[in-house]
Amino acid sequence: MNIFRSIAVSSMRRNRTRSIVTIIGVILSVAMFTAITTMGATLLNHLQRVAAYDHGTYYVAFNALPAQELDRMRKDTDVEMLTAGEILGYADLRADAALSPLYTYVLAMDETFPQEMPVHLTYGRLPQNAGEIILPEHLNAHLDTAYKVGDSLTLALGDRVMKDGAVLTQSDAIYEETLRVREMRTYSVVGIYERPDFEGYDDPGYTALTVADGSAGSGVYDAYARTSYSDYDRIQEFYERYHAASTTVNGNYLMTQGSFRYENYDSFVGMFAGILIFLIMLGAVSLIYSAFSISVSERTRQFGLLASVGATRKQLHRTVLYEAGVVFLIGAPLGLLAGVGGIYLTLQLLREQFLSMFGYGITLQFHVSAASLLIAAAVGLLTVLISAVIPARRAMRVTAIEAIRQSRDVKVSKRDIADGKLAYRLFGLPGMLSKKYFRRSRKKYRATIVSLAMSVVLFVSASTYAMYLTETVEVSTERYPFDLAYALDEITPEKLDELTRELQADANIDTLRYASFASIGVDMHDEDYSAGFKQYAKHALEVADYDPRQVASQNATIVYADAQTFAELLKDAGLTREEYDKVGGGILKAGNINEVYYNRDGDRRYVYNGSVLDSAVRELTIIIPETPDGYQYTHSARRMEADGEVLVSYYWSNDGGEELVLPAVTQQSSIAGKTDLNPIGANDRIVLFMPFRDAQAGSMVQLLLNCKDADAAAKSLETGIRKLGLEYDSSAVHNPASQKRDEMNALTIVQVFSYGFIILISLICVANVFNTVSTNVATRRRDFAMLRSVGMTRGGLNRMMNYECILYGLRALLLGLPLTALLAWLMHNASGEIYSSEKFVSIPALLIAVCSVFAVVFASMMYAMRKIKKDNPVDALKAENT
Amino acid sequence: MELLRTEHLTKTYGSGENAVHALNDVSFSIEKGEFVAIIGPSGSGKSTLLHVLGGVDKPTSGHVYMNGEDVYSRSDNALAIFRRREVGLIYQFYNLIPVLSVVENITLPVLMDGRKVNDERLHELLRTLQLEGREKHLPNQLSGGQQQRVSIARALMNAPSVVLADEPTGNLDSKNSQEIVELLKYSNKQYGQTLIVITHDESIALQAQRVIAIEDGRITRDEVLRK
Ligand SMILES: Nc1ncnc2c1ncn2[C@@H]1O[C@H](COP(=O)(O)OP(=O)(O)OP(=O)(O)O)[C@@H](O)[C@H]1O
Ligand SMILES: [Mg+2]
Repeated sequence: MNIFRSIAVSSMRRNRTRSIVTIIGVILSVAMFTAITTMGATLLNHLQRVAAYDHGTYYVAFNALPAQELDRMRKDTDVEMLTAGEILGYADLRADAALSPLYTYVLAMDETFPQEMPVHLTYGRLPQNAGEIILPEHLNAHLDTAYKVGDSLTLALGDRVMKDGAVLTQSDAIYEETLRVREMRTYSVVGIYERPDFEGYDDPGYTALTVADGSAGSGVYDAYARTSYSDYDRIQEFYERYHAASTTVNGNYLMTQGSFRYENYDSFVGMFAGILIFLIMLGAVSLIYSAFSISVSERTRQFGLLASVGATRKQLHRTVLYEAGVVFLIGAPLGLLAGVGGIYLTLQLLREQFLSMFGYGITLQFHVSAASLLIAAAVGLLTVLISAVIPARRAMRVTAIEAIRQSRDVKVSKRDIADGKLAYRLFGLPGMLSKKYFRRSRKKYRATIVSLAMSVVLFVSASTYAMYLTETVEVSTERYPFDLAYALDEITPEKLDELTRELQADANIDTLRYASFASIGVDMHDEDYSAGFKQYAKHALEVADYDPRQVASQNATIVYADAQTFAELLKDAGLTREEYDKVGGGILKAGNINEVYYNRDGDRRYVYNGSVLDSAVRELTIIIPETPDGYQYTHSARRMEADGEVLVSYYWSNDGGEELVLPAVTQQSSIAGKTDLNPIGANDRIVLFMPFRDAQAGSMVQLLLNCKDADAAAKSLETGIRKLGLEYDSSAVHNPASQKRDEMNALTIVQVFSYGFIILISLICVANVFNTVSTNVATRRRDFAMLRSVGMTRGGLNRMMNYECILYGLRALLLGLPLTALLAWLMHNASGEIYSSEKFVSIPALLIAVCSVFAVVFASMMYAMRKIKKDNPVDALKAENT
Repeated sequence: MELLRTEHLTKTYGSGENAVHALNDVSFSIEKGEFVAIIGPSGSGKSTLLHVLGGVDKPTSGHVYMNGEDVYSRSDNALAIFRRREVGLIYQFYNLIPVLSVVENITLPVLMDGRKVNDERLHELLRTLQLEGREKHLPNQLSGGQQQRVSIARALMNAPSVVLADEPTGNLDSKNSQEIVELLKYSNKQYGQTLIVITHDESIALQAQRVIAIEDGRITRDEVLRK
């Protein structure tokens, strides 16, 4: 072995602890890089599979491609995959010729079609011969009587032909065409499948699929091809070679192949991973860097000696690089393994959460790619090289004699002179000595302090961030007092009665409430406002620069609650039915405003958490909007007009853009009582509860259900509604429970990953601290022996080291806490816009961080000192002389 | 009056075939105030003996008695206090604390003992050892001879009852050497200190009252030159 290599190896052996810690550092950082890249690969793979599932694996779709073109394409070497369906033609499913046609568009699939294309059965099976057919769900939805598996279906198949003889395709909308029937075919329905993605939303025919039987059809095909390249320009060049009625590029699938239509597409995932990798690299570099820099500076003396007997810089440089290489070769494979294993386990453990987050029919599957491992290893290598080369460069700049004397490591600074007096008074000689060590070999301490401070910053700010996230999710989901809601359009009171009776009896539904909502305005007078709100309005409105008169009116909601719910509210307000009937009006629920605002200069932050209304208000001037058709009420306000101030209501047209202003009509409504209950989940600043019978006829009714199993309840709801002959619209269902579950699951995932990240980064920092502290102690072994030989007792030694630990900890906190505060402040400001947390940082995290700093330092010190204390002074003294 | 006595001191490094007997059954005794020179070829065990006498290196077997008390039977703490009060050890390889200045290194044993520094004595030592103007320098800013003189000053600062010097003049020219020896002799007379000096320098050895010669870890000669 080369002499320099053997020097590197022997020095690594001699400093076993440090070498091991350095390797652990490499393992940890490579593991983290691997975790990120593996997670990225897994997500990308997931997206690819989802895209393939939803959109198919083709790049280009050719509509109405003639047979000879298809043959030509089959021979094209650029084509990696090609699947086609022969167009058998259109059939009109409407019996009544007077109505506009309802087409089904029949394709005869080739063998690979069902695998490559998004064909997903909901019932039955795929067709196996030319006599079998599957129909899309949305076709059934448009038919008066839906087809079921087992039905037989006779179709008059033909072409849509214009007067001038032109044949229309799927890319042509329905014109004044006629259907020229080519043949009659009878199919048996063997399956129902999901609306296919390859059919456009405005395509005239609903695609039914059968299989080709070899007999002659129209000779025209819908073909789907994937090229061996995914570059947009080349794909365009490819499809322009063929003549089809129209071509479509499958951008959704191409995107997951790394091909974007627009150059400046910012990959969010990539950016996120980049930031993470950068942070970890920072931590890792600081650890590995300090390990190498200690190793090098310790060996500066040795380097000096070698240089003085003729070693070139290059040779010395190589020694360090060789050491780095050894460390990397041992650490990297273990790190790769640990990272891959870690993500695998995490995915296993979070399976449930991921399923709910990506609620597709496709589960998230662990996926490792060679590229992801290579990237992780490369970043790891880069980290090690950066860490090794810089200290080596620095060491080379030192002259041989400087190196031998270590005159750069130990220096007196001007501030030293008076230094240590206080320490001497407080901690005696040991205190003074450690202070001197601290001051005069500052370089050695810097790494320790910086990595301690960095762990504090990372730990506290990441925990704070997680805290914000948690609170946001909790706040955003706790509003709904029901598990399932359904909006019923225009239902007669009789039918509503019937429905609610039916549903209340249903075992899947625990309680049922219903209500109608009306958006109203409230004309506010100065004395109606609470003092806190006035203060808020003064600041907020001045700053926000809108018309202060707008405050003159507030938006409010009237909730017309069902009899039982209203009775509960009356009871809570302390009223009997008779008492209420005498006064009328509504039961008020004044919602709390939780607003963050700033004063005019923006330098003071206020939080107002209270009601708009003064508690003494007994009567409200309400504005019931008279909304014209096609408009929506927005708000009311006082406006200056020729004949003085008038109260007006503003409306927006539903198709956007147009504002309508009408004079507002007010009416007095007394506040019969007050409640804090919110059984309906109304969130306005002012909510008035009134009995359901007061609701305007024909207004929309919200059904609010409490249930154990939201899916089962939704089924019951559907049957109930269908039974009444009403249309059931699945998009009118609102399911806060599953929404909350999804959000909590997403949160769990975020938390697991962020805490995993925090813990690993902290581990790196701990290793770093341990490393620097123990090396520091090791290099001072001789000094300790010396001190003992001139009579320092073991107790004195302990005191000295304790004092040093305190110095370390305080310094680290002195650096770390302001940085943490700064970061927390930035985060708090950023989140203040959307959520007004009064908490600034996560206090438990802060405490843990502060305690851990001292714990880590003291533990490292104790470990490092455990051998030194037993030293026979002379052995230690001799150790470094030879 | 007897100050120091050793009984069957042995110090063995390693074991079996590789065993090195740095000290091999060494017994002698030294009177209070005596000036003893220890001579012997390189590797004969002189430094080892001095370290054992100074309480910094535990012998493999045998005893060292100081004022009749067994040095190595003391507790760890008592041994530390013994080292800083009774012994002034001048190492062959100076062994200064790198982060402490000249003055701080010299006054270290006094401070360690929690006593006030005797400024007069400090300046006298600095002057005699020609370290004036170097008070604030760190060891790595000093020449070898200067470092050696700092370590001598450190040993003498506490006015210990025994001064153990391991080639205190190894790095010095003959004029400087003689001045150091004079200083040690002066200290020896003035404070009644016992002085044990290892030297290769014939002329220094001849100034001692007694010369002990060591070879292969054994005393080969023990000669009293003058009383
Ligand atoms: N830690 C050790 N391990 C093994 N052998 C040692 C150790 N320390 C000293 N020795 C051996 O003990 C013997 C005595 O060493 P010592 O330092 O006492 O010699 P010395 O007489 O002072 O020599 P010099 O005049 O060169 O300073 C030598 O042979 C040396 O090799
Ligand atoms: Mg020697």
